Amino acid sequence: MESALGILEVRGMTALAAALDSMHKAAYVRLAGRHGIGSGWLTVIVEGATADARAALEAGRQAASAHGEVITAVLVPGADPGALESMPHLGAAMEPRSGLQAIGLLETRGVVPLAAGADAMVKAGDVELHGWSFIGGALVHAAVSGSVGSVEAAVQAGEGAARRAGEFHGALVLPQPEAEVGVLLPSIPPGETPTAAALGIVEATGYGGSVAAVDGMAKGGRVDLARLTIGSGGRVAAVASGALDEVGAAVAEGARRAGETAELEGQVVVSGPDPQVLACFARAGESPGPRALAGRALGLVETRTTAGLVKALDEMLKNADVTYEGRYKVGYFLTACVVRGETGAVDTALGVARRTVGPYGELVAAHAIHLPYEEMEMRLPHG
Amino acid sequence: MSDAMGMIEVEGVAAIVVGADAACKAARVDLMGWESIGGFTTLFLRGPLGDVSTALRAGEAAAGAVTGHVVGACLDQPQPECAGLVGCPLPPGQVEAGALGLIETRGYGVHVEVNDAMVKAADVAVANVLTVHNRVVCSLITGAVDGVEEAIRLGRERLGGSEWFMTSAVIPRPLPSVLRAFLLFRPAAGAG
Repeated sequence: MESALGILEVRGMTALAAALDSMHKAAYVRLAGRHGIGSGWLTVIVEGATADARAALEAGRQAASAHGEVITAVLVPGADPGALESMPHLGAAMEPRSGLQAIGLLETRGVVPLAAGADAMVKAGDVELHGWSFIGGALVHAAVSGSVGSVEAAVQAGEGAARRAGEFHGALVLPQPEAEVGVLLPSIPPGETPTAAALGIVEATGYGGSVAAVDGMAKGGRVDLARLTIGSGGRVAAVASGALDEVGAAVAEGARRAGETAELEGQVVVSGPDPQVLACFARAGESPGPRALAGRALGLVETRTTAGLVKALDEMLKNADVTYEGRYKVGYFLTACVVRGETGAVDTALGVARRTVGPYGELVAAHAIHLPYEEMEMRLPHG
Repeated sequence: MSDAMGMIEVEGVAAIVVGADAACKAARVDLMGWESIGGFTTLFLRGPLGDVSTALRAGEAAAGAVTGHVVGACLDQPQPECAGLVGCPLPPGQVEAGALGLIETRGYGVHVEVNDAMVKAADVAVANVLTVHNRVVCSLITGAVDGVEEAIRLGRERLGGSEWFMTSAVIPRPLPSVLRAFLLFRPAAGAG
């Protein structure tokens, strides 16, 4: 019997999870691959006898259309798996997870509405939070599991909270998920969970905006800071936890500085966050290790082209007494580098960068932090 | 003799492969590697200043024939730290290939379909598939020139009318350094 591949590409994780669940419910197929290419575009590939693959593909296409956008749905009969072995969809983890309870998914644009929604989800029902992840185009999602009733209540509450805090994209409840949907579930990063009365998040465009935000948060209130968190679509979230009034002051100052440096995408203070939410969003993360020039003035240049950044770095190093410390790519046409030196030298370097980048691309941020705090230094991921 | 560094930045990957091959054939320059920042891809060259200028002109012209957006830049005696911004340095190793065909679109699913059709229709292999975020996906096809040309022609027939189609190209005799730079680099599987 001839086998076939069913290829389905959709936009958004809720659409993908709904489709994958329907595909495996509709016919006897095997999950043969999956791959994401940014901007929220996700592909799953199933394999089975031609009639099965066709039925699965049609069921998946309908389910995805009901929850979002279908980019491609195509059946390839008689595919030779060996000929495609260099394609990246085959290397993805694809171990089905059996014995799953009901699953709820919440998808938003940006981490701010997601954290607000996740907190509402775990407070509304007796559910377990599985963590969150990003798929590009600013789309992020969080997953919960539990009994059907709890998950339904949780997702409903999560959607409402997400809409109040920012942009909602989609929600999904799978009462009886197929084992294959388990491969899509995010996980909570390892590490120690802070205990705190409040959680604050400031989300900004690019590394420059988020470093400005975390600097403002460190100076605005007495808070614990988490490592800067990449969202997607060029956004980065600065996360703080601590006493409610301290977090409130930190978020206000962080948002102000982020708005001065780049684009402010959102801000939120979650009062009395559930411990699962703190584990999910507020863990300190790995420290980059000690930096030779920590404490000295920091200059950050961010551009939309590599050519512009390299040109700026070269001119800064030639014309100002600064040292190159590292670089960071947020993705989505954003790339940044960090230099250190005395305050005057960093200011000179940033002036050089502003004059240099123009012909080679857009300058997104040229930002100095004259007095970086130690607690902030430990949360900056550039290297 | 002064050492210089040249950069060519384009949208997508196909144009940078074509640009790298043309630049390195035009003058005595070394391919340092390439870098992707999610949509834009940059080629890095190194050599004497005059050679880098010549190579950049040739590379920009060749890349420009494949894509619309091209920015070139040249650094005379660059600071050594600048090499730290080459995200994908030339990997060690060797690759054997005849001709190289490139087909680039937004979207991944269509590449599974078209790559399958190409290996069925012509004596070619799918050597690598580069996904550089912002939905850009480029399949790199290898084989004898006639097979690669046939495969890319078929790919264009299938995809050329799509709103997601970006570009295609055939390099009949690619340089070994170009093959190393783009065929040995593996994008993270399942990422997204």
